[in-house]
Amino acid sequence: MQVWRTASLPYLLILPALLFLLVFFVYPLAQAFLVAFQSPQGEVTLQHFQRMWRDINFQPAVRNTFLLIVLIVPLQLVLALIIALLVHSRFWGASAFLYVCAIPLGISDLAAGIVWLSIFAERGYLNSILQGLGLVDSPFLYLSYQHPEWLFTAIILTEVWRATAIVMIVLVAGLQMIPRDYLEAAELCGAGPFQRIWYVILPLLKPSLQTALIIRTIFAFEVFAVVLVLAGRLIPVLAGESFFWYMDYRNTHMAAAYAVLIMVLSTLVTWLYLKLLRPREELLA
Amino acid sequence: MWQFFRDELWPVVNPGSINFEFMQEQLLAEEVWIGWDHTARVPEALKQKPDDFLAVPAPRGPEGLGFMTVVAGLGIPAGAPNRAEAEELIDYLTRPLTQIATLREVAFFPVVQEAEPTTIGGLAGLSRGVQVLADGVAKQSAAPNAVVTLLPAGLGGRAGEINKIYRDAFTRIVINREAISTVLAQEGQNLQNLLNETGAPCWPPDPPSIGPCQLELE
Repeated sequence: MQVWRTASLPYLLILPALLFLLVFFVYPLAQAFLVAFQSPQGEVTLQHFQRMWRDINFQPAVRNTFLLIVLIVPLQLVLALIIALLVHSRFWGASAFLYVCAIPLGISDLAAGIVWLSIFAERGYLNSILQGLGLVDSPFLYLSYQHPEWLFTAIILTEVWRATAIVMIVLVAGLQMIPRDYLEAAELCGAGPFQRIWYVILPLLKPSLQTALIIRTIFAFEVFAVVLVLAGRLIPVLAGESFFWYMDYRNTHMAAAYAVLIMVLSTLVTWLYLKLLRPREELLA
Repeated sequence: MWQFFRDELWPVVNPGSINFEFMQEQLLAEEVWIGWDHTARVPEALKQKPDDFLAVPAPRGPEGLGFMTVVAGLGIPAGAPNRAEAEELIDYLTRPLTQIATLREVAFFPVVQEAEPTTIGGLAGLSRGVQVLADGVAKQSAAPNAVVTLLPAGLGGRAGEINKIYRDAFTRIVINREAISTVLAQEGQNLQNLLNETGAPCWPPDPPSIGPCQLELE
């Protein structure tokens, strides 16, 4: 009786969650994966990937997705680190500051897109304020295809506003796990604040940085609702193309092909993060 | 035609229109003064400001006044369990009063003679806005050399891909400014492949074909 309870109990306890994942995640995932490689007649084929490669929106979608990731994720990482360090320093009002910064966690990316659309639209807040102050004569079309740099700026601002909290929460938790003794010892040895951050905090924060980067980058590959609301079809992105192939053009195979591509790219980048940010063994002890 | 679109028409079109979905929004916000859309996507503008808008037919081209009519069919799937009740429902939906209610609420025009809006008019409680819309549609259908065009038919589940072909052609010619003949040749080939693969015969206004519809690619 004792042996039975200790050996198989953990597996029995996670069995419901595992079954849930298998039925609602793994099975549909496998099906979607197969749909990408099946012709409408049911044979195995690469025609959908070939068609995806030749599509006029494919290269712009890949380029835009990568551009957004490269611009947004590092910016968010730096900002989240600054906020996390500030909160960690326990200044007066630090908890309130943490909660305020975490508010965007509670809203969907579509809602965030709509909020910033109301700022950048032709008759939005930004134009109204600038016109009211007399700085411009007529509304400036920020979100038009003639100004792609403004489209990107709006998207980046929205994504940074919305998702920095995700990275910040992980880093705050990671900072709390660093024993204060190390920092006190460093201070006694004469290390200034920047030296303490660079030589003590950041190396010990590596596991959290790795987790936060993996999470944020996987989500960034799926950037969709914000781009859809602000730019519509002007800025193709991979998840958006998958959406339009399914909803507008009614071709599940092409949609699945794009989805498989997103999955492969996310897996690749995750593997890269795991290799490059491998924390040293001492930290894991 | 494409040259006219790209060089003369597009410069006077609101550049945000690529993303416009329901024209009634932009008409009401005065971001556009002239908008083309399906009748079901403009009635709000006419209902809220009936005196500010006109509903006019599509422009006349060299072949006539072409306009698209969307036929919403009613059918009973084979092997349905409640056939009698389904037939009763179809009967109910095609009654004149129901047709008028449909017109009043969602601007879907009646298919039953007795419910013709030009004959019923204000008696049916139609708002002034919908009346304006109905008059415009009636003038369009009754115009000399009107050319009724149906939505693409016979493509089965792949009808959505025609949207992509037209969208890509527009993007490539008007936005990306590629050579018109190249784009038409390539997208025309895509369309022909789609028609061949689905076996769809030509639909009105083109005469029906034997076998898949063949495009005239100049």
